[in-house]
Amino acid sequence: MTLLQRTKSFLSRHKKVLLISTAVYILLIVVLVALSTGPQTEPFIYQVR
Amino acid sequence: MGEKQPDTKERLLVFATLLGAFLLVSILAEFALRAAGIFETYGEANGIGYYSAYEMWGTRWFQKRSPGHHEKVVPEYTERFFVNEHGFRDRDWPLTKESDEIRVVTLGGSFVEGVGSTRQSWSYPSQLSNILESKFGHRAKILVMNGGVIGSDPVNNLQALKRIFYNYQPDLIVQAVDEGDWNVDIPIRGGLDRFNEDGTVSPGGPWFEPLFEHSHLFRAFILKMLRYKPGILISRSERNRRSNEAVVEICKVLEEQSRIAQKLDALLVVEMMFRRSEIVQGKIPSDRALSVKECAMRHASVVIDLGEEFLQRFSPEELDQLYWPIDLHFKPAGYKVWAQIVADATEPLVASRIESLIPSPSKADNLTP
Repeated sequence: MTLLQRTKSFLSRHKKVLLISTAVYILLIVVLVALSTGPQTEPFIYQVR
Repeated sequence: MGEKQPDTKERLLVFATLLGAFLLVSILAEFALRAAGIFETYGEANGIGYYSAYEMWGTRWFQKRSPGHHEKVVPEYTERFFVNEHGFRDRDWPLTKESDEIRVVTLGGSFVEGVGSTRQSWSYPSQLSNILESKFGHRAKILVMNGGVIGSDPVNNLQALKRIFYNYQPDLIVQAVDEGDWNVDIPIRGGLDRFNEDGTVSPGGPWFEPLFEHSHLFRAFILKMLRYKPGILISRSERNRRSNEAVVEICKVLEEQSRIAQKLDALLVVEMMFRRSEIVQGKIPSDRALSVKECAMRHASVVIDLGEEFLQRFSPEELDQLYWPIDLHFKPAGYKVWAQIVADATEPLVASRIESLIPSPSKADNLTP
C-alpha cells in the first residue's frame, strides 16, 4: 500500500470525526468573532475595530 | 463481527490530523480577519503598527519628543512640527521672565500637544496664545508653553511641571485630564510611586501581549472569550479596582499641582477632557469622571468641563465633524474651539494677573497722592 492509499484509507475511515470536529471549530471561531465586546471605554488609541 | 476499534497509534494520528486541520483553519481565519480589518488597533489603522499601552519609549519622569523638526504622515494628514530643547512641540522658551509678562503652561497628552492640528500654529496652546495676545497684548507679553506630549498622563505632567516648567515661573497652570488617565494609563503604569530611582518606569505587559500583538484570532479569544479590555489586557474586575485607585492618585496630583501653584503665586486650571464616543453617543460622565471633577473643584481656581462647553456650542453630529474619522484627534477647527473656550474661562484670571503686575492707567492715577 502506498502512502497515498494509506492516507486515503485513513481519511475515509475517520471522515466523520474529522469533518464534524473541523466544522465545530469553524463555527466556534465564527461565533467568537461575532460576539459583542460590549462598549469599549478605553481611550481610542487602545481600542480595536 | 464488530467494527475494529482504532489502536493508540491510530488515535494519535486522528488527533494530529485534527490539530493540523485546526491550524489550517486558524491560519485562514487569521488572514480573513486581517483582510477585513477586524480587531485592527488604532495604530494599525493609522499605519504606525501595534501600539502597546505598556510601551514607554525611553521615558524618564515624563514623555518627551526628540528635539528638532519632525514630520508625521498618517492616512488622513501630514503634519510638520518643531520640538524644542525640552522635548515639547513648541519653540524654545526664554528662561528669564520679563516684568510685564504672563506665562501659561498647558499640560496634558496628545490633544494638548496638538496631534491632528496639522500645523504647529493651529494647536490649542498656539491658538490660545493668539487669542490672549489679541486681548491683552497691548498691556502685557503673553507666553503660552505647550507642555502636552502624546501618551502623557497627569503623573508625568506633574513631573514635567516640577522639573521643567517650574523654572519658567508660569502664572497659569492648565492641566487636562481625561478617562484614559484613570482607565488605562495610571492603572498600568502606577501612580505617584511608579518611578524607579532614575525616573524610568518598568510596568511590563502581560506575558501574552506578543500573541495579542501578532494574532487577530488571539485578540478575538482575549477580548470576547475572556472579556479583557483591549490595550490594558487585564480582567475587568482588576481594571475596576485599579481605576478606582487611579482616581485617588489623580486627586493627589491635582493637590500637589495646587501646592506648586501656590509656591509660584500662580493659579491652577483643570480641564475635564472628553472622548468623542461619549459626546457623540450622548453618554453621561462616569462616576469616576465626576469624582475627578469634584476633586479638581477643591484644588483648582477654575475647572473647565470641555464636554459641557462643546455641547453648548454644537450638536453631537456637528461635533463629530471636528474630529479626524480615523485618527480621532481634533481637526484644526476643533482645536480652535477648544482654545476659545479656555481663553473665555481664563480671561478674568489673566486680566487680574495683569492688573496686579501693571495697574491700568486710571487705577494708577488714583494711587498717586
